[in-house]
Amino acid sequence: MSERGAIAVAAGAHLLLLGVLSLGVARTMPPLEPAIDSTPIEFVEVGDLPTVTEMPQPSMQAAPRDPGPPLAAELEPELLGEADALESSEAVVQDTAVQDAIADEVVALPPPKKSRGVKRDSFDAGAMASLIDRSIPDAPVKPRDTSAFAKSIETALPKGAQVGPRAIATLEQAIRAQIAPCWNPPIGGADVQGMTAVLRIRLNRDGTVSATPEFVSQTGATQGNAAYARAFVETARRAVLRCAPLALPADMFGYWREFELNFDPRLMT
Amino acid sequence: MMVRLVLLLLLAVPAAATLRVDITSGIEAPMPLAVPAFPTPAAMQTPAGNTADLGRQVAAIVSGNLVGSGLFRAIDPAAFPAPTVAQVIAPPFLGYRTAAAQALVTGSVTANADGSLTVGCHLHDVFSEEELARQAFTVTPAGWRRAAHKCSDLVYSRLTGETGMFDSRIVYVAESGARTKRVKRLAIMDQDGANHRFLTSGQSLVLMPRFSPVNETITYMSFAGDRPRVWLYNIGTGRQEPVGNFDTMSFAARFSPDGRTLLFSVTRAGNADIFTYDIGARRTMRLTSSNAIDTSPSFSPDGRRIVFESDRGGTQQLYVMNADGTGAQRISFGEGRAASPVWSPRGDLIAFTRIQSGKFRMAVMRPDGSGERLLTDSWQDEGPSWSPNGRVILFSRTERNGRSSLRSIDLTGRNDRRIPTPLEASDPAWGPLLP
Repeated sequence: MSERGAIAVAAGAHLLLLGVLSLGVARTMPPLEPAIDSTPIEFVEVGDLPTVTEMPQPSMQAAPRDPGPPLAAELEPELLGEADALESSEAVVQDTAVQDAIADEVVALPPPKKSRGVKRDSFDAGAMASLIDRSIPDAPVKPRDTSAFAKSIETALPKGAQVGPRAIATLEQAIRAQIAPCWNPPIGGADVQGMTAVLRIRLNRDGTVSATPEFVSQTGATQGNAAYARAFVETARRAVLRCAPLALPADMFGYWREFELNFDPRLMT
Repeated sequence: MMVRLVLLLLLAVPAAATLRVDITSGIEAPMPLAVPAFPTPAAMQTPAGNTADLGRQVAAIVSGNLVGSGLFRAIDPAAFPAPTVAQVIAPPFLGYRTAAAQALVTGSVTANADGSLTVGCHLHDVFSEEELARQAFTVTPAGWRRAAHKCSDLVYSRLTGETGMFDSRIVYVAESGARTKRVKRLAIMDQDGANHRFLTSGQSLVLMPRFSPVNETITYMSFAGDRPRVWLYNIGTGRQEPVGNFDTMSFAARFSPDGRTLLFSVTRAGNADIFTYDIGARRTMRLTSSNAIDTSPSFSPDGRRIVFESDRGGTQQLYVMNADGTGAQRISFGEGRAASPVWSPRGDLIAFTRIQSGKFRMAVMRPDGSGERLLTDSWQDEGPSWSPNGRVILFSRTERNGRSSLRSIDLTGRNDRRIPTPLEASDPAWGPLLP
């Protein structure tokens, strides 16, 4: 090793030693400071107040109890029943408002054949996204357009398997029935009005989540309410993780392997 | 252009192949969370007690604060083993998931060589196994409870997205003695009722204390020297001084959001008008001059507007005017009267006392008078005061037997709970978050 090299090594070693020593002097870190975690902990000096210490007075009353998520067993019979009767019976489906809305939209939409002929290469996702985003505040409570989804299913499914809008609506209902009781949105926040969040959910065949729910988009978030917006998204994510595994019809796995949830508490007080 | 738009919409059909489900409702139940005892790396005796005992007490205070907010419920600590020091940063999540906790607060208490205490505070998401927040608070042994309150605020703000409210204090009027010869003293305590002490001796009648939103000062009305008027009281120094120089009674004082100005009423010939007082310059200015009783003024958080009550229209109602006294407009309508308005520090609501059918109830409305909601339904609930984050309303409740106590209620109308005081209590005012 050359002399220059040796000096460089020695200088480096000294700097390292100095760094290590000054770290030790700078602050007596609490022993819990993690070796495995690199997030720095923020230290806050809390000053004394001119007060007289008294014994603490226990006071806090427990608030109303959380009923907890419904048991999977409660959901399953209804769900399976609907899955069996997907195409055959209209009586099984209870929430006809959803179907009515979808039926209306099917009528309103242009025939699917026209769209098939268009090359996907020319699709402008950015322009489309901006259109979709703007459309959200106008139709807050209305169910999403599932007819487009139904069309895509026709191509995705094995030949002969027929799944119509009603089956999709039933699937939607099954998902909604299982997620909603697990969602604890932050109520009473100043910005709760108009805030929504969309997460992409990926599930395994057994209904467990195969990946952490992915954030897709959010409305109602501003610079001023970033902390609230973050907490809002986390309640949505927690709802999914908490209620998984979902019990959904196995023969429709192709549809619920990956889907999106739009969390919108507008119907709540 | 239109054609292109239609074409784009058509194109979107095959692209939007992902099912999207709207979740339009959820549950409005408190979030279950676990706050096991904070371990100590080395149990040491301190003036505040053994660090191992402190770890248990800090956890209990954090749990009590959060549960007291009504937004959380605590999982019984017996449902899981207390974490070790190593588990503070790497908790065994599975056990907490089994116990149905959604969030987990861990921490530690360490006695430092200089006599101070360091309380570490970590918030974990039990399902995603993420650490959501962490801070360490260094306190003197005498101020150890503040570390627990700071930890509570950290957890509360991270999980709700709102600012905290637990490291704060309440000033109020402590009442004792016979009804005909009532002794009223100013008292101050932590928001959970701890560290209670009296500020005045009780020789003079005191009413309507209010905290400065920025420093250690309160304003109140005192009958000292048989001159009922507004005073300023510096809690740190104990120094008191009267406000302004009026021949008649001054009352219902409240600070501006920057703490530099006071608003209050001054009576004159059966009327009351609203004045401002520049605390630094000791200068007063009249804002209203109607032939009515204008009182209970309260600034909006941006300091541009003032809500107050007035009977200028015949009955006691709420009005909003500009900070210079111009442009007064009535905002309360409907059955009954409306009194003692307070603008939320969040700015979105005004809390007030709704008086109708012989009942006094806590209510909120938007600053334009819309969206009125009654929050309580008791016999006599009066004098609302907002928590520093604008989430909770503190007030005094008088029962039919004449006994009065402090209560708080969430702005959603839930979680009506009593704030413990050693004596009967009225006229509470919630102070700002401490630095």
